[in-house]
Amino acid sequence: MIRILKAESLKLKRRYVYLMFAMSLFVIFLWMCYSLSDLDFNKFSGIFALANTDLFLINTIISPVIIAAFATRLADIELIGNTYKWLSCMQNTKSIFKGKVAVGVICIFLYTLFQCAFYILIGIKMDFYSAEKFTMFFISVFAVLLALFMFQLNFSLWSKNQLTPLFISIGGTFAGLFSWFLPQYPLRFIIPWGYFCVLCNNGINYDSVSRYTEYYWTGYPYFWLVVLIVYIVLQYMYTRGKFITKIQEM
Amino acid sequence: MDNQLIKTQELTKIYHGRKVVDNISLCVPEGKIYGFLGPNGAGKSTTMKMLLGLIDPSGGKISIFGKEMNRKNRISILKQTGSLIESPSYYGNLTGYENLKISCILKKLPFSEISRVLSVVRMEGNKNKKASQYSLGMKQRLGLANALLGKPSLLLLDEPTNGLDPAGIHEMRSLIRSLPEEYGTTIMISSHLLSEMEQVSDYIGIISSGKIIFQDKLLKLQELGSESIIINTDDNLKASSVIKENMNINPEMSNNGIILPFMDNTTVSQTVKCLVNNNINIYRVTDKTKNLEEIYLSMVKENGL
Ligand SMILES: Nc1ncnc2c1ncn2[C@@H]1O[C@H](COP(=O)(O)OP(=O)(O)OP(=O)(O)O)[C@@H](O)[C@H]1O
Ligand SMILES: [Mg+2]
Repeated sequence: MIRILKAESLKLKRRYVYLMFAMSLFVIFLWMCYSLSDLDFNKFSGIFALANTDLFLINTIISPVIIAAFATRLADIELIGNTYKWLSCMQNTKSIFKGKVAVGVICIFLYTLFQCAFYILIGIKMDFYSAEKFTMFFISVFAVLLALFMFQLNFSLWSKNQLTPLFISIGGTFAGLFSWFLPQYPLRFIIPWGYFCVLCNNGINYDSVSRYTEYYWTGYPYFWLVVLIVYIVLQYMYTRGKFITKIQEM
Repeated sequence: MDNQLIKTQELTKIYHGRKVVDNISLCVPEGKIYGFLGPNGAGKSTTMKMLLGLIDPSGGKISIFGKEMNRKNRISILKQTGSLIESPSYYGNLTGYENLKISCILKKLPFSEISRVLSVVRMEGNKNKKASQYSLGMKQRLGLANALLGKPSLLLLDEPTNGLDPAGIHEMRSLIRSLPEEYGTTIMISSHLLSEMEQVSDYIGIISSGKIIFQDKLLKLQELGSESIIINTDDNLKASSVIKENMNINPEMSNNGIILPFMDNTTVSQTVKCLVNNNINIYRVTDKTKNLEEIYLSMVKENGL
């Protein structure tokens, strides 16, 4: 597996994948700085919950496209260079697929880890700390990103035109955003982009008379986390099966 | 009899109900060059893909290095095999050198192999150029370099001269010819051109519409070229009737001269003597071999293509 990962990371050379993730993290960082600067503590309470919500929201906006672009980068080089046949002579078809997923998991893990680090930094600065909340943040974001990755990979691996998966992700981003503002519809439960919203266990009380906003925590939606994990596993198995048959036809 | 390195039994591939490869039994002897010939769409690439385990056969068996080719053995068989199938494969964002590095990593080979194969295919000068900027011939050379990594004992090359210039074809040919001598490599190489195969192969297999229509030593194929003898004289008409009367042979008249069926040396000298005795001046007596291309074409035509 180490060899396969080594080969896989060499393939990503000059594709600016790491730069893409770094830029995305930078945007998230700026957004958090912006949203947490000049807070009027007379007007609201629950900064810890606010930071959590903000991170989920920014992820809804920028991460789907980043993940889609990442999946595209992993797959398009193989299609353009007609390399699946060559690789299949050196490794099992299954391991080609596993290699792609492994690189995906590692990159997404690091991407989430950096975000979690921001969250902890904010916590230190604002004087709150909850290992449990940090852990759940990490798990939630990681799971949603992984679901998005598996979804995108399913298209990118054999799509000659890599614009299609990108457009799908842009559409998904909008659908994900709507799910924040249309809580009465169950849309967010049936699309992977909606799960940033589903797994964000915060609520807002806004009192229009005193103009006081209260951000609070709700119970963690473990059920939906399990649903999401089941989806990831199913999507993984489906894509792997399809990959193996597709490669034979190429 | 030579040791058979690749053997197939009733190998068949069916695509959409059509037998693209039909019951073929290949024998590729060890340490020899096997030319795999056939017109477009004959099933050459399909056969080679099955040999590499890239596609599953619809029926039949393949054994390579004495091991049966199946999902389990595949990678261990392929470790000792280099291949180049159809269009070249490469990562456009990587340089030629980095492309070969991928293979070395996956095949557990030392990176020192890379410079060796690059010099074999004369690509040292372009090793730091991105593969997307390579010409077709350069990509093909990169593919060949890739196949040569690790000195494999078996090479499967599908139309390796595709896209090469005449000098490149010549180099490729001498390279291919040198490998069995130097390393004992067995090579199976496909092509549409018999003239090309004739210059490198020891054995020839001809496939047409998925069926093997010839498989044997190149010499055997050459023997099939039925020879004839052409005699030119100052009076072909008279000569023809003299031969008919005296030699009991039925000559055929053509613009090139009198065509006689193949004869042994004594019969030829008797014929000539007879003509001289009848006061006919002989200009030349020549052997005519039906060239291999004609044999090949007539074989393929017979098979209905
Ligand atoms: N994946 C596929 N699905 C359906 N038919 C296929 C597939 N691959 C090949 N064929 C058919 O199989 C036949 C043989 O194809 P193959 O590529 O083996 O020919 P070939 O001898 O290599 O020809 P060429 O000299 O043009 O490379 C063709 O008629 C082709 O249409
Ligand atoms: Mg072919």
